[in-house]
Amino acid sequence: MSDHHPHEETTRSPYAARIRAIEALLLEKDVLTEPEVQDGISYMEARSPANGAKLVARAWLDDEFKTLLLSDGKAAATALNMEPAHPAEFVVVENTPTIHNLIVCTLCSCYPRAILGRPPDWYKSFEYRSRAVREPRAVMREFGFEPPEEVEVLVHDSTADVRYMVLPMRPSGAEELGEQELARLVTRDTLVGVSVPLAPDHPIPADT
Amino acid sequence: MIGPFPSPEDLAYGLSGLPERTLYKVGFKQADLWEDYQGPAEDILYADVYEHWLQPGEGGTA
Repeated sequence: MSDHHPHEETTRSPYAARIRAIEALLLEKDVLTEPEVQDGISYMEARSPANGAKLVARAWLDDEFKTLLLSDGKAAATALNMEPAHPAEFVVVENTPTIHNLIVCTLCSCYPRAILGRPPDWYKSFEYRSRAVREPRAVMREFGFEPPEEVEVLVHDSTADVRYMVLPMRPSGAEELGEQELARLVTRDTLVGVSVPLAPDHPIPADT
Repeated sequence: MIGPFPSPEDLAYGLSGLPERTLYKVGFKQADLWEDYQGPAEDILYADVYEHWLQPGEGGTA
C-alpha cells in the first residue's frame, strides 16, 4: 500500500465518494455555484456545540434568561448573537432532580443544526435511533451515565419541524464558576441527553 | 399540540405542503409500548406526530 496519503486512501467511505460525485455534477450542471457550496460549508462550520454550552451556562447563572430559553429558544439564541435562522422550531427541555430528557430522531437525523451544527455520527446511526426509544437507560449507561431509578426518563422523538436541546442540571460544586468556565463543563453529548455535564474538578478536555 | 406545519411529505416532493397539518406531541408510557421495558413505569416516550399520521384508536371517534 502506498504510504503517501494513508488517511485519505484508507478511510474514505463510499458515501464520501458519492457526495463528491454529486457535488461535481451539481456544479457542472449549474444547479449550484462554487461560492454557494462554500457558503453552505461556512454556515455549518460556524455552528457548534459551543453555542449550546453558552446558552446552558447563561441559563445556569441568569434565571430570567433561563425562563426565556425554555419558553422561546430562538429568542434566547438571538439574545446571545446566534442566528437560529433555520425555519424549524428550537425547543429546550429542562433536566431536573426528577426528570432526565433524551433526544432522538428515529426517522432520520433531525437536530438543532442552526444552533449546534452537525450532529455526531452516532446520532444518525440505526443503533442509536432504534435503541434510544426502546432502551434509553441502556444507551445512556453505555455513554457512562446512569440516571437513578427514581428519575423519570423522557425521550423526545423529533421531526423536521421541532428541534430539541437538553438544558442539563448544573453539576454540584460549580456554584462559584463563571459563565465561560461553566460552558466548558457542557459537552455536546449532554445537550442530546446521553450524558450529564462534567464535574468541575474533571480534567477539562482539550479544545477541538 | 405543537402547532400547524406544512405537510412534510408534500415538501419532500417540492410541493407547497398546504394545507398545513397539526403536529402533536404524543406521550406513551414506555411500559405500555414494550412488554420487557427495562426501567421505571414512569418513563415516557414523546413522539412528534403529524395529524395525518394518526388514526382513531379502538373505541375512539374520528
